[in-house]
Amino acid sequence: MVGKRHILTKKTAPYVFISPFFILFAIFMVYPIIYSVVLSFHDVKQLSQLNFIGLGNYKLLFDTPRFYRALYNTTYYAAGMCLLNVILGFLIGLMLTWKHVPGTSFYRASVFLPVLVSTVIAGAVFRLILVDTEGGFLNYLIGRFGVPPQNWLDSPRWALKSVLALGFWRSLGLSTVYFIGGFQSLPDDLYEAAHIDGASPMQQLRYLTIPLMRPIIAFVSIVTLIQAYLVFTEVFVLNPTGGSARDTVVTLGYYLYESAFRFFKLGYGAAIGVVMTLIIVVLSIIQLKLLGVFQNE
Amino acid sequence: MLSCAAILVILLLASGSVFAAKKVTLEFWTFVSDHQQFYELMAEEFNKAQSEYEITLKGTTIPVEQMHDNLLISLIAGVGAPDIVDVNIQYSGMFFKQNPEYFVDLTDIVEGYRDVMNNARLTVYTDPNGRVMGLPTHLGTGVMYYNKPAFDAAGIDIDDIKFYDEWVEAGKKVTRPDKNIWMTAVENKLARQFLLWTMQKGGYMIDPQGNLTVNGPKAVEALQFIYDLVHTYKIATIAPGGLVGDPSFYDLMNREHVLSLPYAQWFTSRFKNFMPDLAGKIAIRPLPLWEPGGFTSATMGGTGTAVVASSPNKDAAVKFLEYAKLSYEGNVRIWTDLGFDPPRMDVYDDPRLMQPDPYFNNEPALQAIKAGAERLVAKPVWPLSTEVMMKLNRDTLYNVLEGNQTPQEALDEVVSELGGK
Amino acid sequence: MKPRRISIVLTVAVLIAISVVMIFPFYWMLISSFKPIGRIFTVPLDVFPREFTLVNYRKLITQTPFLRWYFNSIFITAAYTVLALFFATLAGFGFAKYDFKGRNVLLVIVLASMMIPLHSLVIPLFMLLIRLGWVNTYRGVVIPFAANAFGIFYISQYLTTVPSDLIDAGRIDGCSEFGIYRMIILPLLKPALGVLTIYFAMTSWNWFLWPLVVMRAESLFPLNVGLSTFISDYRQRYDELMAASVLCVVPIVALFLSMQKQFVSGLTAGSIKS
Repeated sequence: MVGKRHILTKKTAPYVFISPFFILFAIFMVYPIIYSVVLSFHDVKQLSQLNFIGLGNYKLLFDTPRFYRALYNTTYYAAGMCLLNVILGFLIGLMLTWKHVPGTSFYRASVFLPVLVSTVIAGAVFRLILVDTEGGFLNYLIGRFGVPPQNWLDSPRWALKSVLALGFWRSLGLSTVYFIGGFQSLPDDLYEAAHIDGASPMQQLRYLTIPLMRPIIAFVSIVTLIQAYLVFTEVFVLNPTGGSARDTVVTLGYYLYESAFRFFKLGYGAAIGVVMTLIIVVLSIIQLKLLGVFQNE
Repeated sequence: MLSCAAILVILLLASGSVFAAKKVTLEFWTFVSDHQQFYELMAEEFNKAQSEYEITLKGTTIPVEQMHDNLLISLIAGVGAPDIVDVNIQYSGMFFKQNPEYFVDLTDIVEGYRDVMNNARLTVYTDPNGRVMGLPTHLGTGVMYYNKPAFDAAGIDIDDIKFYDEWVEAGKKVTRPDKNIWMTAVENKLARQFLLWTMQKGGYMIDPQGNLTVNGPKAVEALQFIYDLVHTYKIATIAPGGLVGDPSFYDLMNREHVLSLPYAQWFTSRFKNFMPDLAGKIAIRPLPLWEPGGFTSATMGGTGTAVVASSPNKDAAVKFLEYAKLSYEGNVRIWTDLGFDPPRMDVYDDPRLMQPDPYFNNEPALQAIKAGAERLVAKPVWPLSTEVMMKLNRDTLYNVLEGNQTPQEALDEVVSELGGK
Repeated sequence: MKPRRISIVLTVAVLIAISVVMIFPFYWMLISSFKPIGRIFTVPLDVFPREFTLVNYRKLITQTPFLRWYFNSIFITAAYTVLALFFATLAGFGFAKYDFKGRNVLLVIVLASMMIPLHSLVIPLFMLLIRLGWVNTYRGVVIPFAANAFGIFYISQYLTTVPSDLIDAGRIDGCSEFGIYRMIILPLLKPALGVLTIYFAMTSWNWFLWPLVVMRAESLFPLNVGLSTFISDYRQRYDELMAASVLCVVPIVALFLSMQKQFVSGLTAGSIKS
């Protein structure tokens, strides 16, 4: 005991405590971040053979239509995720915190359950439901209404929307929980005052609830946006070839994987990674700004 | 006394190790479960046929795209690669052209079989320096499958169909769009039929300097033909799922909604496995010709089986592959067990290959190939990088058949996007 | 004021409809797992089970490395969670309760690193792993991410609510610095550990891209990577896949139902990251 106290003084202890973390952090985080930027300026023919090509990878990237399609698809997906999560999360949260609704814990659990399912498994079930023949459940269902079977997974019309449906199914529960938390912390007295002033429920929603909920709305939208920009597994599971649905589902994350690990263009892949990082950093700064501003109010 | 005993023991041990076969476990990756079963069977035969090695083949079947991703990552990492691997022709550009150093050079073992092998097919797996990197599994000859009773009923003798315009005319007679009955089906997710027709027309996808010329006149004609089948002559449907290897296509063909199919010879096993109701009805004929004296066919698809250079057992792996893929017996088994047209041409006279097959109109299934084998085009597709193949599969066919690009525009786009690489 | 009855009924109807949509994939997974493969796609579709078979489960267990993958997933999850908790609590404590040179700079770096997406690290990390010889190993999957910036952030935030008097009292009683961590801080951190455990465990249980690249041998695949090999455009193994899905989902749902609160806070805590 005594010896220990000699080694770890109040002065040295914090360094000892944080060092295991920072050793790992330096090796597996700081170094790869720097190395990924370095790689993005190289053509990697073999692991040990890096040819410096300056901005070559970036030039090629910005000249390749597939990159723009990936950027477009990712943005479409992220915007869709953001809108759906905010609007539906808000509405469901509102309904679930309405004190006159019986049995809310059941609905709450059922909205939350998909959060627990890993993307691969969720994707497998979605594939089964979305199979393009008459034997797929969704086609069977719409067939009952006389609609011909659709190619949900492969057609340019539906493929990305199917990916979006999968992502949304898995994320709605979390967004709803945030909104529920927000609604529950709204001050009751304000509503009573509004009620006495004769405000209708719609007016209360518009002039009271939505402004009060703005921080939560901002938070959910930006968190969803950032997560959604990284989408990879959803695409990989629903379209293993990434090509069966043409360019309609390729996302930045998928394009990176494909470039690096299917076509062995590690430098090019690293450049995609750097672009993705920049997008995320900008979004994160916006998030911090938004949330920071709200804290000061 | 003791030392005598020791020497005796050593001698016994030594003799044991000299005469006993070396036990080797070979790991094998493929994307077709039939291949796995075939090689496992061939491993047993191999063990009986020689005494140097006693191999145990550990096969793994992984979906095609993941298997190749996995292979690439393992090769780069230098960890976890198998000893023997099936490389799909679409990926041969990626592996045999761009990264040949990861595979064992098989040129020497092939030398002894040059006379009997279909050399064009070997070229498919030869790298830019003339080294053979993979051994073919089949010829993959394009043939025409006819639902014979349907044509008989329409008063058409399939043996009279010699040229594509005759085939199209026959198609116009038997196609009934109102009943969802079609002369044929085209794929829009795989460029196999497109490449088949391009090559059968005498076209090719690169020029001698190695530049991408997939927008050349023959290719444009071939793509236009596919377009015309669907939209001008209206005798073809797009295969459900975009692939004739899709279960929903099997179902459509099985229910006699598609009456003829230009496809690879190896598709015979798909008929037998997945389209039981067509037994006895399907007749196999050579492809029609584009013009008198034209090429009889071209090869479709392909799998090059390669030995990984870092394998600790590559000698055993090479010996095994030689037995399974180049030997006479192996090639007979490629037909009898796998149902593929063997790449070794001298086995076609073997009675085991010319057995009448009750499923295929009670005719020998391979006779259509034997007939035209000498005017068959087999050109490597690996000069097309894997990316070009994937772009053709992914965009080109779709944009022409269901989008609004003309064949020329769609193929120009491929060249402008990927021609520089 | 009591709202009109009709609006309550409508709200409940909408909620029921939403619940049905959200729950339906679970239902479909479950009944498909008991259908023989021949009946999974056949028209007319059995929306309610007609035949009941365990053959999919038997095939899954006997003909695929499913159990091995299950073990791998559990092992990776457990190892990662324990390691990440250890590093995060120790360093979080260091940051929250000590004043030292460079503290603020380091904290900013750690926080800033939370913005970096995994995707941009995969390629350099993979090349690093090759050099370390860690490809195709458990440690290769687990260790690179064990220094979790969010964990530090969460712990140090949590500890700011703990009065420093407790620590000083510990020192006066003769506790070593490490003793303070073990005897005073860890017990205090219990609620935070619960939240982080769920967060780390769920994160690592769901990992896909990283083990997909690192694990080369089928026998080392975690569930997600293994099961993804059942999915192909050319060959669909939905029978085994659905049985596997049920076996993966049921334990987690059971855990969730028994500790809903921890789950919800663990998973929502996670999203504050980035």
